[in-house]
Amino acid sequence: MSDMTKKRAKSEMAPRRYRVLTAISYPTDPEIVKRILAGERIPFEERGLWEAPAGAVVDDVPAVSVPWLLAQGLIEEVA
Amino acid sequence: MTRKGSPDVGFALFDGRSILSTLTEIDTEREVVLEDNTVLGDANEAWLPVGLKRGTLSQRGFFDDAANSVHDHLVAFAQRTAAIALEGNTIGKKFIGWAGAITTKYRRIASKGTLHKAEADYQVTGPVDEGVILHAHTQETTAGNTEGASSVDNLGSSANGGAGYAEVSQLTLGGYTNVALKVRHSADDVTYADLIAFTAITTALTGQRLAVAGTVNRHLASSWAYGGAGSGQSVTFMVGFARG
Repeated sequence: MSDMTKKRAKSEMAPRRYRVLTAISYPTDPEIVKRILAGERIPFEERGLWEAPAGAVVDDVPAVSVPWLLAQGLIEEVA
Repeated sequence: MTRKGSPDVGFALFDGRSILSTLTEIDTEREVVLEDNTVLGDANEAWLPVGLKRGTLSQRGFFDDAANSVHDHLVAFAQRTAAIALEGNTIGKKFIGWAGAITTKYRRIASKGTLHKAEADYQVTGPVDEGVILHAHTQETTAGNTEGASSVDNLGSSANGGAGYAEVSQLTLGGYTNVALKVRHSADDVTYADLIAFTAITTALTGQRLAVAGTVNRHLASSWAYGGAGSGQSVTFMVGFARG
């Protein structure tokens, strides 16, 4: 694999970054996200929430939430 | 349908003034304004809605002149936001919200051999909302939110905005500068976004109603946080939201 190809592969693996336009909060633990999506009601104390204020740039927004957050103009992708 | 009774009444808050413990009766009414549309030649009366709704509110109960109790509330003849829960002080239960309830009549009744009574009528100005409780009227001593186990699932989004209510009956800042209350919404119950941020609250006996337009996602929650630093803080409040 050439250096160029390695750089491209690394770039493609890097998480996408988003600027928060309206304050959001989300669990940062993928296991918690899985449990929520499976229908489990997880108390606040266990959710491990991250509070991202408007203007923050984040790269760990749960993937399941990205489409509706983008569609509603609550976050925007950062180049 | 489930019947409800007087033990189910959860709170009665007027700009944060909690007067439930003085009340024996609440009478709330909503009315659609109609105009007689009957014309010559009609064999039957016809009525049409003119597009207006109006509400009335009245109360009966015991006279109480403790600070910020029912006498202080009524004798001011003020306009206040109001929130009354007839079904219980529980997240997910319904409440009625008034954007403006103006005390127009206050009757103090003293009779031989009875406790004094206090009765009042209100003129309602602005919207009357049918909402759902997102934070019960209880005390919180640390920041938190109801996302997750205590969020309210509407089973679908709505497109016509709505109105949020916040009623604060007690606040001890303990050095903090304010407490921030919010209504938050989510399409997936995973990530929540601000829907309404109430004006930062610095004193108790406060009520706010804020309207919002546009999409309201399926899941609703409330959050609360203290601004600055301090210790020994506490706030007693309710937050609710009525979809448009």
